[in-house]
Amino acid sequence: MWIYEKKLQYPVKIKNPNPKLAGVIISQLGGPDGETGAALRYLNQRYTMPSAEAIGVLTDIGSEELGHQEMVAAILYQLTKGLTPAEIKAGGFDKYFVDHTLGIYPTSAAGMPYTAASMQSKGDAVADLMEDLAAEQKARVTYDNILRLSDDPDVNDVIRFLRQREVVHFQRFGEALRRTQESLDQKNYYAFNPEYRVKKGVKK
Amino acid sequence: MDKINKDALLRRIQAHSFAKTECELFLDSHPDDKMALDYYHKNLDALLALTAEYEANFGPLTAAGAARDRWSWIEGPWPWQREGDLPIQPRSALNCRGERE
Repeated sequence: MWIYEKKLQYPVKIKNPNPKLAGVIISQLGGPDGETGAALRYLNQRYTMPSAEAIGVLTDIGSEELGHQEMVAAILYQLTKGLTPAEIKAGGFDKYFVDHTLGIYPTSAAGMPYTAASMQSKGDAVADLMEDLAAEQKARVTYDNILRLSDDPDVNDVIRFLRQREVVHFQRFGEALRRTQESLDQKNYYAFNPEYRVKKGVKK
Repeated sequence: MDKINKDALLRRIQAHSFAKTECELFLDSHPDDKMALDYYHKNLDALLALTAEYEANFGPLTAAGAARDRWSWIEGPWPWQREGDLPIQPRSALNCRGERE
């Protein structure tokens, strides 16, 4: 069960609209390495995890990602509020505008709507936690790229906060993976499929 | 406290929590309804009291309700696990044979 808190995790206060920048930042809402996919990935992977540490980390990071989804949406809302049709055209935002007006829709910057095909829940703790480590790195690179494309200090301050959270999550997932592997049957040398254990008396 | 009390207490929490959610939805579209507002607060007050009682006896419902002397937040069972499932416990809570100390 979830409870909504009426606050952002970190403040978003952007003074200048910028449709061009909104058009790239939107990838962190609905793109392949965005916050929507992160939340769905972690919150779905946790059910069959074989360790308390991994369940805890996936629950809490997955919940935090829902908050990041809201922060990215807040950035998009503020970057596009009050734009005129001329500004929308000049900023290359017309292809988004024609379908969504200024509503917030989870899509990649290239226009691919959010798809769960960009994530996996494999039912294998090692495979899934490895994917989570990669996902955090990919999201971090996307934020790096946004910083390369943006010169708005109001936006960059928030993007740097979000980028730092990817780094912290990577660290926590690494620890969860290590602790999970340490708790596996030591004879399971390659740590294959520790979630799917049907042998009698071994199931944890 | 025994198992039945834990389940019964959780059931009461779920009932008040659900009633509170229903009030929230209704109040969102009827913000001036005084009767709904009173009913919301009645359920909220009951929920807060029962949650405190539950967390003091059976463990946290939110991370903020975890024990002060150890991180009980990650201790099983999690809500999707059934009666018969062995709760997945943190490594620190288990001995070398995987048993609870």
